[in-house]
Amino acid sequence: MVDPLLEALRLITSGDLYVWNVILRSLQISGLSLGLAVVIGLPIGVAVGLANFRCRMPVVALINAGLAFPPVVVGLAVFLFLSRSGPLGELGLLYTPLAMIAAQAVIAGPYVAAVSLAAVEGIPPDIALQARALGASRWQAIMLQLREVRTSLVAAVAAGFGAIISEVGAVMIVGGNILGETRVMTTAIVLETRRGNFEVAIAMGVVLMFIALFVNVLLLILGRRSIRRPLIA
Amino acid sequence: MRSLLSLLLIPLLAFLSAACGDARTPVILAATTSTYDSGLLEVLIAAFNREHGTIRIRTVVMGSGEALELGRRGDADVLLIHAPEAEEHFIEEGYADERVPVMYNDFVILGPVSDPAEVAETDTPGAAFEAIAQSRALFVSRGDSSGTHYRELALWKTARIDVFGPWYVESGQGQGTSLQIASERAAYTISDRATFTVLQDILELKPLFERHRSLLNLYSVIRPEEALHKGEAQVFVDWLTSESGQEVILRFRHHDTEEPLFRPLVRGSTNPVLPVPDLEEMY
Repeated sequence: MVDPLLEALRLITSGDLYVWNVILRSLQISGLSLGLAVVIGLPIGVAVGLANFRCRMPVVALINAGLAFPPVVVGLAVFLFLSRSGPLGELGLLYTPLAMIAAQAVIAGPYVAAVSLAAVEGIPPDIALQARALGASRWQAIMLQLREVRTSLVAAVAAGFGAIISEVGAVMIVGGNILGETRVMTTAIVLETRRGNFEVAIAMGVVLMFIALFVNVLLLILGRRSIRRPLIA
Repeated sequence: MRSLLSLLLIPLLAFLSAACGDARTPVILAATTSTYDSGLLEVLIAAFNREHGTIRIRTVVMGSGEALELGRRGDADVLLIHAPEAEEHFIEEGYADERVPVMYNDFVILGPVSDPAEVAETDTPGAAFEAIAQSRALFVSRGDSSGTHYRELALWKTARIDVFGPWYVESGQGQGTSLQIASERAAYTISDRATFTVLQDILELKPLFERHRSLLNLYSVIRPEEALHKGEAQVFVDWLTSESGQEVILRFRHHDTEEPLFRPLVRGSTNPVLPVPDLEEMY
């Protein structure tokens, strides 16, 4: 019997069609979910973090509670919404990549919002005051503050990505693990392990770990670079 | 900021247009783990697509109970399952007109080679289950409302066992995983023959009771009334029971095993197969 680990590495390096299709599909779906989560979560996190309004505490608490959403429950909720007998059933989105994108965006959104909120909260308030005193517009002052915490915002995006690329329960429920459409690395690992195809499962596992590592290192480097850049040119 | 937005929107739009660009009508097929994990469905669907290019079958894999529930909710257009009594109930409730038997194989009672409960000595499935319960040897149940789980519960009833102790373990998982759990824990279990055949090389389990007429495992196809694409779903149902569909089932093998994993059932199929079980008597 061939060593499954060696066979797994062969599958990866030989560009096995099935393995690579699943990997690309994973990146596509999680990437788009992350984009959606950033577009929605980042402005919310930054706005709540910088603003001062009444009932702020409950809003902050709500965003942080989103971090504790069990992904599989998010999956169940999205399933019930998109089911043909559910409120959005007419759209026929259950068991499509779009359903997975919706679920993953709901999972990653709170990560992005909560981490960016915590980041901008930590900005010393005098930075904005000084900028305004030096003649910066309100918008310019906000952008200046964001640049200050650029590393942490990058970390917010990384946290969101980490939360979804390795998630399995929700995508299994709403995506259905359909070959060539909604099968991603995590659900493929579950299936191939069940089928006893350990080498295929290991191949996906190795790639999944490398992707997680690669993204985090990349984001770290980006973050470092942003620190060295002079604050006010 | 604008470039960031377009960076996100362009792939999203490209993806949407690609996803919606498929002109084929999607038919959602809810099928049991045994038909999918063995590889049969992939082969069947590929063959179906060669004849019917306008329909796209999208397979979702789950236990029979869950598949029936999807049928009730209108989330599945076709069900390929093996839980005859639950299927009859589904029809009585008015969720479908009929169920069409497509193929069969049989269930196998498996256990550790040492066979501490001496299941191999028994002569009916009921007696086999009674022996397991009396020896308090570990038993792994699917526990997931699948066709195999329903059959297992029926066998406990036949054996008149209704008290279960710590020796009875519910995995709550598909057939492949449950077999692996039983193997790792040297437990008894029951499986459909197809999944066991595919996995037997990595399992330390032995068939201890098999080839008994009451262990028949019958797969049927159902088109629920709630199906969205009824016409296309019916085309698939008709194809499965047609000569070409039945031929694919008969020819399907795991590697080079001699025995087919599933046997076609529809009378009048070109190749006469094993004696067709007397369904009326068994169900």
